Amino acid sequence: MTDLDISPVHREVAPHYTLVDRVFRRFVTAAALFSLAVLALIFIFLLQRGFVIFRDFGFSFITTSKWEMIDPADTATAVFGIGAMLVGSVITAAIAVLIAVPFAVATALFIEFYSPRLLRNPLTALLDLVAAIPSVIYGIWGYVVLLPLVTGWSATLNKYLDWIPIFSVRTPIFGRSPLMAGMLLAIMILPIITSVAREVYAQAPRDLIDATYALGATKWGGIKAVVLPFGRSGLVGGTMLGLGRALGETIAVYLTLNLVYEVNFKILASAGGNVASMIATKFGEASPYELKGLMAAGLVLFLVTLAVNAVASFIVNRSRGVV
Amino acid sequence: MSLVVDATIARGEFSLSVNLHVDAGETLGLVGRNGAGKSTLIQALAGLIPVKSGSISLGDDVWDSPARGCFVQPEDRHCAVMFQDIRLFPHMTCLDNVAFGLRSDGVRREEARDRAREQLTKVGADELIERRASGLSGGQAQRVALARALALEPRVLLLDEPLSAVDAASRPMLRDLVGEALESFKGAAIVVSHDEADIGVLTGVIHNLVC
Amino acid sequence: MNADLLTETIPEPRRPWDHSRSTALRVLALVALSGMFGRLATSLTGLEGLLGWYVGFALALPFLAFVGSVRHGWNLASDRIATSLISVAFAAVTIPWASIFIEVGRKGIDAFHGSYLTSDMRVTPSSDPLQFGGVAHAIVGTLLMVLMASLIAVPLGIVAAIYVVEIKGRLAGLVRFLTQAMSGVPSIVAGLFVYSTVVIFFGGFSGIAGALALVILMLPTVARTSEEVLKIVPSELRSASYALGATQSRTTFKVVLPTIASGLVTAAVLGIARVVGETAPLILTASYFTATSFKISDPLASLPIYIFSNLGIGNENATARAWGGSLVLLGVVFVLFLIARLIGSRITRKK
Repeated sequence: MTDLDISPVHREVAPHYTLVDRVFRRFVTAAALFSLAVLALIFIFLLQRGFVIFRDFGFSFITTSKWEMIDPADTATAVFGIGAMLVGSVITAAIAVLIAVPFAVATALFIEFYSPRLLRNPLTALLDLVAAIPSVIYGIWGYVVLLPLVTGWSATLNKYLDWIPIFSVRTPIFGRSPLMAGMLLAIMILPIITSVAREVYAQAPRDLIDATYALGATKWGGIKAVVLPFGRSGLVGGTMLGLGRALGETIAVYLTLNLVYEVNFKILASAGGNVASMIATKFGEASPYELKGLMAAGLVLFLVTLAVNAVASFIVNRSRGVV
Repeated sequence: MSLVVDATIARGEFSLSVNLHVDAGETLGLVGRNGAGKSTLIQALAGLIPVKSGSISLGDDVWDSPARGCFVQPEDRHCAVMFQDIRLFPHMTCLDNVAFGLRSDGVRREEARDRAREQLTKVGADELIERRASGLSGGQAQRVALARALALEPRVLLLDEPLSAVDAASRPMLRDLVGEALESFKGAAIVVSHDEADIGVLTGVIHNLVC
Repeated sequence: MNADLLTETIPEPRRPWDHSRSTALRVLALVALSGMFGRLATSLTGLEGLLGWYVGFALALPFLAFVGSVRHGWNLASDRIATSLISVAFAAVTIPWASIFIEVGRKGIDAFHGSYLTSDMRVTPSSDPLQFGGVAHAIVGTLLMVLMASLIAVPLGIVAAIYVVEIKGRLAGLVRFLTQAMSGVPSIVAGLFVYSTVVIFFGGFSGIAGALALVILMLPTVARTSEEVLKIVPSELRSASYALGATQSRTTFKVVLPTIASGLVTAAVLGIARVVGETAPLILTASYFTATSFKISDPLASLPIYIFSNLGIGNENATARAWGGSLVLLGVVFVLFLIARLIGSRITRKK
């Protein structure tokens, strides 16, 4: 009897894969990979349609700032470059992020630490609702309600801060300026940044915050010492998500920014544009060759936002994992 | 200036009645099983939770008395806590951890750092000064936490399981260190632990917490 | 200890959780004083109206909070400044939110008349008086395209989540990462892609093309939400099923998915809410049509483009119609949101 080994063997409870299961797993895998294929297909098709443009214009497609085709039938008369639009995308998105981030941090802190407990859930719900408002509604509100206000503010800013280069203008026409588009984008991306920030702030270790109080810190002292450092990478990730959204926004920018093909750093001047709104503007009356140019512009935009979002989700995931 | 507690502390279903008196320069040891309410008492003393009835006072200074509508904020109690789970701020250096309480008390940065450095040297943690608090061993972290509590020069010192997070090897050394610190401490001190032997070495007076 | 000395060092006792009368009075005085400063700002400078008053108020509050507390030292002062700055910033953030809801409601209701929701723009130019025409065509078009998009995107999104959570395949990390990255694809790029494939291939704009563009934008939302919901299912439930000899497919279909059915509905609703207001991709795919139509292989109207095109026309009646459409669209989003919230709260309660 002694040579009989009856010591129990640890065994995981695991599924046994029958034929049905193997088919099921194959099917699910295939379907999941389909969504990956979509990303690849976007890249391949836009590249294939826009390839001619990259071949004809090379690097100057990104660096030059001219978009014209004098004779729609003659491709030799075409000059395509999205330099100004890329710069415009970056400027409007940068204004949006600069305005939105401080307010997002304050809003997240207010909801999580300063608001009455009873208001916390309703405010979080409101935040989600505002994040779900379609961009066309932000667009019409920005165009009709915000634009006149910003026009007035721009004139005032220009009156007093004319000596700062970015606030100067050549002709005193304000209104549909990078500042206007940037402010509207700021309002649009604020809920996105805020909800990511609020989520990570809520995870800040309660016992460490208590420890700051026990050491004599005020509420703000505790927030500064524990909550803000803890939520830093989450905030960076949320900001990148907002940046991605601002870089790729079409309708809101289309409605609130004058499309002018020149690199414009004067944020009060009524000139600028971004890649997405340019595509929407030019799409209607584009000749076949120009359409290829728009495809190429779309590809550039796609790659830029994909990179920004990839970095963002990487950072957000990391900050969610670390506790 | 003696710490007088005569209060009922409630936390959810759990309720605890305490009646104790600690004179300045004296150390009171409290022994109780897990769940006897040791940490709850510490939190009430530090001002992190309010008492339900009765009062807590230090000398003539009433800290918490619902009947009289008094509650002194934690930051105004000048009472330092060494938590059971240590709670060092992981992203700060040990020096900044110790200086934190002083800075909260309004001490200028340079002075706070000097005093923190001095205190860390006193507890024999001078080699940890520039280290981040996240990578410390249990014994090291406990030293820094002790320095952080002492640096405040508090009126009341509360030690919650001061030796629990320490491995057996460094236990005697840390016990001596805490003992010395308590001996030279001029205010009222309370040490709570589940281990009667530890308490016996550290303090003169032992009370049993029963609930 | 000297009693006289002690009374001096005792700070004013207060309870942090129920605001004492003195705290309330202090805050009230602070707000009132800042309000007066705001009034002063509107009368002395070029600032105007409620917004101008708020700017003055927002600048005065932290300053007064500082002045009022600086004698107690920098720590208390910084705490008061931070509190007032955070409150002021939060209030500022709610101004545009309130403005959007109020303006859309107020301006949108002007366009409404008895048959606004049931008539279309087939025989009505946008400049016609507001009692003619309506949004029926746009509602029908949006419903058709969103329905088609959901039929494709919801199953695909759920399956992608199943792959990540249940099957945990070799590429799970990659699938997860890329569905997240996909949520950042600009909507106009999705439109361009569908244009460059479906529209060019079939030789024209169509509701189908519009729906396919929406699929690309909807899929990541559905996949992400389903994934979060699937993770709620306790692993004991799966083990129990396996221990009873169930296969993985049986466990997934009979145990896991039924447990979280309502969560999957939430995922679908959130996906719909994400795309129902998309404008840019539809310009490039579904285009616009003024009559109520169910032909999905032809250009189809939609609410966002109804708004957008009316706004572009620029005359008074067209703009009023754009606001009317905005009210309908915002209402749709709000209802979808409520549904998601209701179902979502039921899940958390069950958990």
